[in-house]
Amino acid sequence: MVIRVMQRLANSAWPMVGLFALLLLSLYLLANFAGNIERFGQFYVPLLLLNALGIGFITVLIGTNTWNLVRQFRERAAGARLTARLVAMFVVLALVPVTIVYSFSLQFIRSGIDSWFDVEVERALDDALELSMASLDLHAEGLRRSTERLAARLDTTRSRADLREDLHDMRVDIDASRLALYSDHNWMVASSQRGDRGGLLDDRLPGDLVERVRSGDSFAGLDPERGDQMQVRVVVPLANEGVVTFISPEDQVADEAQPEWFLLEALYPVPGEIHALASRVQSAVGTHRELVFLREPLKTSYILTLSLVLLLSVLTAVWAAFFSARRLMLPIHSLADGTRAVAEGNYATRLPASGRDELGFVVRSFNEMTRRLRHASDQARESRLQAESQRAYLEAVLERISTGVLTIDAEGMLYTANSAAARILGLDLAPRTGRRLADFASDHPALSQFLNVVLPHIEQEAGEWREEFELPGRAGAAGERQIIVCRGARLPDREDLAGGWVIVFDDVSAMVKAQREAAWAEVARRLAHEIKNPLTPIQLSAERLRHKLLEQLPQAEAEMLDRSTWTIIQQVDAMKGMVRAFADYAASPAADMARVDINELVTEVADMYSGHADGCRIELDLEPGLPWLLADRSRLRQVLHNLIKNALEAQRGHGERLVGLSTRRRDGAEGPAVELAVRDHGPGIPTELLDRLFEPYTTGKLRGSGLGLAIVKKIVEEHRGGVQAVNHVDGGAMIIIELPLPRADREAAPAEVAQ
Amino acid sequence: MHRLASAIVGLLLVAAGMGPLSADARADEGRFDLRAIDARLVDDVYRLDAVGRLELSQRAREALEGGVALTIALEVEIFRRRAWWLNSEVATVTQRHRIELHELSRQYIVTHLGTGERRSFFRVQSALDHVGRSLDFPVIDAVIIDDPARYYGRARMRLEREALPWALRPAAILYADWRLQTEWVTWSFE
Repeated sequence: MVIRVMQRLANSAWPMVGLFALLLLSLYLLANFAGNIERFGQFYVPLLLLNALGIGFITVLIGTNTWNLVRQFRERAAGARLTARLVAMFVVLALVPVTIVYSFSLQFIRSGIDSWFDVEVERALDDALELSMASLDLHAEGLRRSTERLAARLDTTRSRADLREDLHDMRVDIDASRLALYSDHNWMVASSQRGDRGGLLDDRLPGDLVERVRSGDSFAGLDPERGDQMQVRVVVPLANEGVVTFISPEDQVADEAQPEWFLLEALYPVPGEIHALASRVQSAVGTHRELVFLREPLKTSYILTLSLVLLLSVLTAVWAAFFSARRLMLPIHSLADGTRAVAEGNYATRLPASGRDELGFVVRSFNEMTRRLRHASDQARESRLQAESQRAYLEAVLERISTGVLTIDAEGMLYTANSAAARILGLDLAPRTGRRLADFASDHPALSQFLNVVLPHIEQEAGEWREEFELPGRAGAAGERQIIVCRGARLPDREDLAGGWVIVFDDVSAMVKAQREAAWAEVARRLAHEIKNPLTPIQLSAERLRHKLLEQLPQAEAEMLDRSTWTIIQQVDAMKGMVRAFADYAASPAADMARVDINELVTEVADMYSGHADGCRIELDLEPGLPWLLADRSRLRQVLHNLIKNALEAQRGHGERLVGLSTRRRDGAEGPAVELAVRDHGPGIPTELLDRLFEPYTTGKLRGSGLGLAIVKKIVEEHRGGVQAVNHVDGGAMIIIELPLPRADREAAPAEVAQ
Repeated sequence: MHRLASAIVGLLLVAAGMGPLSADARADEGRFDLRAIDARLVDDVYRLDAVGRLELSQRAREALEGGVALTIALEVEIFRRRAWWLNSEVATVTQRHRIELHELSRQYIVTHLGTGERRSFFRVQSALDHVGRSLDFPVIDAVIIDDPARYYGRARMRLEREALPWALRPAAILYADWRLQTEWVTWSFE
């Protein structure tokens, strides 16, 4: 806190200017005390202390500045060296003239004060004093003699009243202002004084005067006790020549204290002219003596004041040096900081304007430079953003198309792969980015087959090529094989593309399948149409033959006719059934979609089979609380019938025929779905049939149209679901149907909806 | 405070090239000693008798001989004792005497600055003895001292340095032989 305040004071100009002005004023007063001692004398020492404290304070501030500078110097801060040089220069510039002026001023003070004291004047004053004293002594000597004569006449054995009378008469005779008699113990015995005289004199003589006179010599000298009227005091000792009778008991003088001596004191006014002259001499000598005595202290005081002025000037200069250097260096510090900021990429840096000088020009140029840099930087950023935006757009497009796109750089490394490529190939390609294609061929069979087609073209550095091939089916894709159409092209070997290849491939399985199904439907329709038409005449003809000839023919022929026509009729019926099946496959009615509780439907259909006495048993494993399905109830029922029938037929001749029906909720590739599985315990599906099980005319049974599973698949696909046939590890075949949940009802269970 | 002021002025003097106080300056520092003090109740006024022994230092004597007048003060302070708090100052009285040399008579004049009374002495010590013997100095009215047991006074004598000529004051603050004063001597009113 204190340090912060000090630094603030050290860095701001006005408080310091105020302090300097205050100190200068006090120093001015100190320097002018000589003329105003009475008015300002009492403030001398406080002012001196104020200056000392002020100078100490400035010294501390300068110390703070110096410390800061040293620290910056050590830290190699920008501009520290130049600041130090400027400060040193200012200090030297200030110190040299001030020191010269100071040394001359010292000389002037010493010689000036000494010049006050002229030896001649001093001697003249001493002489005047001596003369005055001699004159007064002479005057006093005459008065002493007359007082001694007077004392000889005084009879000290008389009573006090008589003595007072005597003294009065004598005083009037000699024109003294006072005449008094004291015992040797300095007790006043009697006195007489001029009536108009103030009673300033004590009842006793000055003690040391008494001692002086006790030696036997009389005293005559100037009495300075009255300042306004100079007097001559004469004290004459008198020997006690008999018993003193005037001492009364109340005077407290016992017998043994009989005075040996008396002292007669006489005060004579000094004549007016002598008094005036002597007073002036006394005053002049006194003043001069004091001045002489104060010569050295005066010098000391003036030199002290001068030294304070010098110290204040030097400290002011030093502080101003720091302040000016700092002000000068401010734009340079700003420039250094600004340059550092620009180097760190902050192009928004603007420096405060710093006047119209050359530094100001540099600052303005710097600001212009950073403005242009900022502009260029903004443009670059904008271009980058545009490029990134286009790239993102391209990526978004690539991510959303169903065509797989791979790019491979000139080194044969995978560069980019979109999600369609990953989906078609059935593996995540992102972690493999940057690796050589050939290195991860073994990671996945589909990829391996894909690369077997692609890599030869890349290795041959073919320009553009096209291939169509099949990939083995992926898990979850009903085991179907994928038909891939793949095209490749070499990228131009430019600086911004750096060569490589782009490989575009499509999974055309669905399209091929649709075409196949359409062809099958057409075949079925035509077949049904072509076959159905002659069947009825055949059947009718056979029945007519039978009806007309059976009774007319002999027994043997009749039996043969019976068997033949029966066979024809039976086979025609069978062919009619087949034609109906073809017709059903070819012309599916429009689905009537409604909410279906799959568990309820499964239970309903299973109940129809559970009552049979031919050894079949339906086992249900239904997950409770499944959501509604949006489906055609009758067609789903047909699916279940077809599958259950297939399952039962697959177990023909196995004793008890057990069919497992299970439902459960699962999260499929396309979202939440319901899985319906129908499992038998038969011999399973031959491996060679697995791939084409759902195509028309594919059947493992001795009897059958081969359309049952094709119809199942068709209905399931109408419900946007998928169907898959697998062989269970515990034996038997299992058909798994996945029906997607409608988006709105994915979470709602039938029970909840019913509520 | 005076020591601090002395130190600062001393530093300034050293800085001004006049040097610190020398060993000679310490040779005769003088001494003020308050030997007896007593307060009496006379006509409802407490009067103080104070007897001190005052000896000037060499430097002060030189100043006196050089025509500088010295002022010696008897400072008296009366306090009232208070429980649980600082004692309160009831009265402060000061008696001042000025001693100066009268060149023409070569005598020392002592002037009572309160009454203007002047006495002359041939020897400086006689003058100082006169100043140091202060009798019947009225200090406080008895009406103010309502409970004498709770009041006490203290007194000291000192050379007033602030009354010296301004040129002497820095030195008077700096040099110990200008610091002439007695200790505070306390008395009670009981």
